[in-house]
Amino acid sequence: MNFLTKKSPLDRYIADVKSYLPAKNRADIVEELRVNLAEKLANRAEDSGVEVSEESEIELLSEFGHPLRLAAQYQGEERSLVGPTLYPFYRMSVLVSLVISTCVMLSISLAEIFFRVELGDVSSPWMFVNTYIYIIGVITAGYVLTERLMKRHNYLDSWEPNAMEQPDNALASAWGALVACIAAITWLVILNLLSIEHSLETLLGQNQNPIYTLVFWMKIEIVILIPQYFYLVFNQTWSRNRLLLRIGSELILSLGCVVILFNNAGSLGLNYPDVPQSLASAFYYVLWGMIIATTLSAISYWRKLRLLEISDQLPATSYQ
Amino acid sequence: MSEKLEAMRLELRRGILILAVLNALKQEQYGYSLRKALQAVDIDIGEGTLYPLVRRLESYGLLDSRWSSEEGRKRRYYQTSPKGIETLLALQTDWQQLNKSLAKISEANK
Repeated sequence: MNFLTKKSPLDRYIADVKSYLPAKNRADIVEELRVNLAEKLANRAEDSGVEVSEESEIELLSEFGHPLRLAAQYQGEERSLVGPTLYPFYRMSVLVSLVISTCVMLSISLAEIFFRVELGDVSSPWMFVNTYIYIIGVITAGYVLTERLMKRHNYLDSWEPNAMEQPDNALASAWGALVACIAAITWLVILNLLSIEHSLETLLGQNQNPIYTLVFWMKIEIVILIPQYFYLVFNQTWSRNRLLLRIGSELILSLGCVVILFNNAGSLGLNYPDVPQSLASAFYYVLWGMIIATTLSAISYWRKLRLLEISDQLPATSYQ
Repeated sequence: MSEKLEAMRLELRRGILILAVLNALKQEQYGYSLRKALQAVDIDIGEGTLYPLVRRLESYGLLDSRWSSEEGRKRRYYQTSPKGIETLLALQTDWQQLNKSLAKISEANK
């Protein structure tokens, strides 16, 4: 599947609203919204004697406001911590984080059982409970803060329909892809200068050196990225599989950082005694920064995929 | 002050809108015609607020709905359900009671 059809602002808006709605009644709500918007546009055109145009669509959409706000109105009930505007994202973030952390903790537990590696109390049931509480707490706090900031700075009020992305946009220029490809190969060569053991122990952070583990995960990500960049040089449009591959490669590095945090992040100072304690502690923040950055990047690709798929399925609006 | 006043107005209108919509939909209407009907009695409500509100009232069982194609146009029609009428009567009674109370307060503090 390639996403190449240009969409009108109205169809992009409807696709955007649809992407924010919960699955229940989504298709029906969107169909009704499309009918109402089309009728209003047609009536306006009839009154003014000017045919429906991109400008008239944009004018109408400005009155409706940010797609996120409209979708939130359909969610209805007020929630005390995270409001309806961000709730779908909040729920998705919690679910994804819980699934990833469960996978990591389970694979660590399995490694302990099958490979007899010593992991202390990492795989104890309390570790699971503590991790879940920690993750939910951090995500909730993040969303509560984001929502308050959005309100304070009137983020949704400053939305303009022109800012909506055309779903058929190209990934990058061929030259950009070529540069990215060369940069990735160079980075891989540099990482290879560091002699590390490519074993399961290194991958799972059982080697007492978090830098080695991080380098191993980075190498995996780069090896997946290089063919993607190479393909991009010749074909700069999105496809579902390539977007999924992109999301996967972003999440791989995120997963690697989670593994390090769980296992050997604390042993940086042991391996490099000359490194000041404050710098060793900063390593935790670096890992968290990488987790957040790669996860956000994966979310942005996931959102792009969702929008593209929705736009692809939705028929173009008719004003008859 | 105008921003605060606007926020207070919105809050005041929010509850009354439900009354207005349930009342207006005693006769079957679709989204756009409902908005026009409300506008005709000087209740100017944006579609971005009205359409989701109608959907919510429907999900509470206060409205019945159906899709219909007339004059080649597909529309979703809504009408206040028996449960909606019952709710409307209860809300109207409360509203009238509140109005009386407000009038009494105003009278007492003249």
